[in-house]
Amino acid sequence: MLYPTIGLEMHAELLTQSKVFCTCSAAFGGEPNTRCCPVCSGMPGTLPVLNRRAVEYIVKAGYVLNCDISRFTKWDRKNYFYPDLPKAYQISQMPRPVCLGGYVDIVSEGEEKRIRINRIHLEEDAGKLIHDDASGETLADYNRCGIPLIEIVTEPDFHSAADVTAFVEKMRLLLQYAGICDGRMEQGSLRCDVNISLAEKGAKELGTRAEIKNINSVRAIGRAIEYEIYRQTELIENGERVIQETRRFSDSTGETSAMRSKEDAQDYRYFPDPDIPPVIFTEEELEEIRLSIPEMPEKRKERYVNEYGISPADADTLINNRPVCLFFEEAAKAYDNPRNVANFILVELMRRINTGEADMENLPFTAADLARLVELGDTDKINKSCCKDVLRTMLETGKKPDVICEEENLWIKEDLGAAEAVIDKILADNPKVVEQYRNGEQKVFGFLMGQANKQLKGAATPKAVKELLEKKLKG
Amino acid sequence: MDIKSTSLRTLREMLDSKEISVSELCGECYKNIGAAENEIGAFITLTKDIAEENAASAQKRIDEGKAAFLTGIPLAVKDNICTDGIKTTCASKMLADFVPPYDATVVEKLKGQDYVLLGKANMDEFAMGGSTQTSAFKVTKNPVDTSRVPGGSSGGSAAAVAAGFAPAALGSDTGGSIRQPAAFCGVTGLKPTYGRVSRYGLVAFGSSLDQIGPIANSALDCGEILNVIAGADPRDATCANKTEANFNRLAGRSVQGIRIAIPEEYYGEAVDGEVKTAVMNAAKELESQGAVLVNCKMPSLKYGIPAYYLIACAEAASNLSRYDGIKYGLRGEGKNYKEMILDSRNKGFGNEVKRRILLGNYALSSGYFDAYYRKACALRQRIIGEYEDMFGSADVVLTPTTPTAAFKLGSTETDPVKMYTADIMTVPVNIAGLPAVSVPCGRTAEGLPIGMSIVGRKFDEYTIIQIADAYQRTCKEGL
Amino acid sequence: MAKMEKAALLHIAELSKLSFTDEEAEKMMEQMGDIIDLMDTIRDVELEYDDTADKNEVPYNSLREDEAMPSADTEKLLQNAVTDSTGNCYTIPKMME
Repeated sequence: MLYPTIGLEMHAELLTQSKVFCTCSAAFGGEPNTRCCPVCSGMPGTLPVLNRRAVEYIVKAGYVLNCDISRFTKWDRKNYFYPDLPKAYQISQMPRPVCLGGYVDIVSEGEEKRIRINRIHLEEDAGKLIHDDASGETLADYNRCGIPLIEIVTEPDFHSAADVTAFVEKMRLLLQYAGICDGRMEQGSLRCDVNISLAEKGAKELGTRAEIKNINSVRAIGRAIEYEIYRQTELIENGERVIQETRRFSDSTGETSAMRSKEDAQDYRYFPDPDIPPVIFTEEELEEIRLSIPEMPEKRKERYVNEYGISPADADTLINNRPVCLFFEEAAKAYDNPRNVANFILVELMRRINTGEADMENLPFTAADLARLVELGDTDKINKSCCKDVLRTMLETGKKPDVICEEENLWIKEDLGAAEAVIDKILADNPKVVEQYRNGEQKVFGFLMGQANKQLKGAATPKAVKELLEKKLKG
Repeated sequence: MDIKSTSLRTLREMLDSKEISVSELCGECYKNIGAAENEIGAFITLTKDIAEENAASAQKRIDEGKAAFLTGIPLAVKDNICTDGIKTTCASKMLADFVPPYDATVVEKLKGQDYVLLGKANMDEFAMGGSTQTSAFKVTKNPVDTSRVPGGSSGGSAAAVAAGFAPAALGSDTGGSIRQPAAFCGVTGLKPTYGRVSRYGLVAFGSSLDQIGPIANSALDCGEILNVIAGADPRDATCANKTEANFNRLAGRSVQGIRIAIPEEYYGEAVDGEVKTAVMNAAKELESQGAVLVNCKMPSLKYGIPAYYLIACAEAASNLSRYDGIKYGLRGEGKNYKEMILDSRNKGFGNEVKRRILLGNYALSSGYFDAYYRKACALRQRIIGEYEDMFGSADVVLTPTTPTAAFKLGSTETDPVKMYTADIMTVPVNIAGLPAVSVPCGRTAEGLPIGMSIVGRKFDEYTIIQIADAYQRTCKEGL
Repeated sequence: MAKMEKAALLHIAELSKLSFTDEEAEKMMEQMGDIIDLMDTIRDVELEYDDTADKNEVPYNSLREDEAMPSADTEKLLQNAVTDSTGNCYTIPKMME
């Protein structure tokens, strides 16, 4: 039985302000060559200067992924020619990367699995090439040159597409929670290269592996691996050899195809970059970095379940959407009933996020505002059933919940006199129903309650309305 | 007024006291340039218009009483140091029309004092050479004997000072490129400690070895220039975080008790008899002033050449990979990227540069990395250790700067190995990152200058200047 | 080494993005052979390189603060390049892909 063995190389762009070796902005996009300087454009006489925050972030990644942090680490030049590489070498790390060893635990196909990390190193990104069909030329934009990247190399511990997608999702979450990468595969801030080979299960040696590059979504990773397993299986079963090569995945066809081979295997001639002194850490520095890592999703989930009484499933939903999770935590700070806040978010806010009505990036109100809304419902200031309507208005107008309640007259007034009058009128308008009730048909009570609630617009608590109605009906 | 025999300090006083104007001082330089530059060929680019602008700003500043030490002082700058808006060619066809969009840090510092830029000095292509003969544009002749080389790679800078074109110049030194031409031309050249002066804006050759330094008519003048160009730079991570007051602060103090190491391997058969004699006479002169001569050994000296060339060329091969004609530089022809880049580099680089790139990539290539590059790094550590041993019982090391005096133009052009082995005296200093000053200490029977090198501990430019100055005050040979 | 072998020269030349005519290659092979002979003198020495013993390391806390500064003016930065019609991009003749 042919058994797939898969290893990953992931690249994550770090959320620093400036590039890794110069002071140009590391922001995404921009008109070509407007976020460049002589250093990242490879001009003669320029020198790289390492960004401390980039180093801080890779150390954080190391801690979050259970790696050993090297106390002595250095940068090397990886030499090759390509027009998106202005210096004709990439500054990377070879023998002494910042992080070695490590692991991530995932759940895949119902099983718990541990994926080992081989290493994580810090390097610079290359630029972008744009093909100009009209002129047949290629254009180079170096804005992306020098953006800090961490490369995470796993051991070949994956054996299915499901393993890989579970891992990538978890990795994305971990890096986001650590605050070091925004994990946007579609923008290229998280990239994945897959190495895959097939062999008989239990075979001593692995098969020949193919590398698949340029996959830019989790779904595509799954599809690419499935296709590649199929392709290699076909080859092997037909007695053909799998060629060691680099392939690209096409979203439209769902297939992988060979990239024109870049001549022989490259000799990168790695050697220590003489412009960058090696870096040493003290234990205090490392501890300070470790302590500054924001709370990771697993710990948050524990807290939600054990301290707040939120169900594990609900906790998962929260942590798997970091913006919502952080929003929840902030709301829970403002109003000390995290379970109800979570509930409201999960039921009402998430629903609207899924329909597109609400956009976590552009909420017109704050977490404190949402907390206030929940509080108003809990403390019977307004009718709980009104809360979702108030939320809709908050989304539309950005107004504060108190303001909305005021404007729409939603406050429960406890003015029993007015309520009585309204109820009297309802009973007067519906004599037949009243008679039915008095004859023993309890279920018409609901109709009368509905009418009362509608007309009172929640201005009295449901409890009070019920008591009043009962009293009036008794005569 | 004689440029060659007037110290920078005196020039400063003359300018400040209005004895001469900046314009008159520059006029003296241009007079000498006019008389001899056609013959000597020290400059790739003469920047007369810019010099005039500089002079005007400098004069204004002097008139306002706000002059800094180098205000109005005319200098030549080696053409591998980037000058914003001014062609910086590295004496290579590859960069024949390259106009940097920024200034090197040292140039910013000089501009900050309102110096005057006379021109960009000729050099060996990409600083690779010891004679300035590999320049793609012109040959520089030694002003002392125009049938001979001025040395290299800062040949233009040394010649400019020796010919009186400029009172001082900036050069760069990777394996001796300041000291050797200074020795050949009979002037004083100082290579600072690695990390003393920022390399930002110096077109890189051997990144762990390169330093910018002054060439002038005396060690004191070198110290004055160093005062301006040295210092921490956030744009160079290898530049030490030091702020120093005055590199000449020990000058004038007695050299009584200073221990001078004489490593026997530097005085062997490969060194010309006349050179040995001149250097030993200088040693004796210093001894008569109270210094103590200490015999010692440097057994690894013979490995200095391969260790140096392997490291320097490996770094250079990588540093020069960026020259492909896309971002700047000579743009070759070709219907695709691969063809174009080959054409750019074939046309843009001279043979010496090509050889060094090949050697460098050879040393780094798979299968050879351990035997060559790594071994060279190990040798470097050993050479550093041997210097540390020497400095255990001495304060400075004294050696000839070169095995011979200046050789004839054209004589070593066809023999790279001969050129390389001539660097034996100077390269260990770069390998160890130490400061060294080459001081004229005599002439051969044919009248050719001989230079001696005083090498100090890391960051001890003070002591080497003190000793060089002590010698230069008392010996006419020195000046 | 005497002369460097042609295959070796061509291999290193490819890594260096240099190309030679047959005549040039012959000359280079001889010169490189001599140069490598000179380098080979280090083969006698038995030495190990300890890359942590160069005493050039710096403390983490001394590294550059993460602060973005204004980038260079695009036109000035590209003033030595052959650019596209917008003037903003470097141009490369057709890439083989």
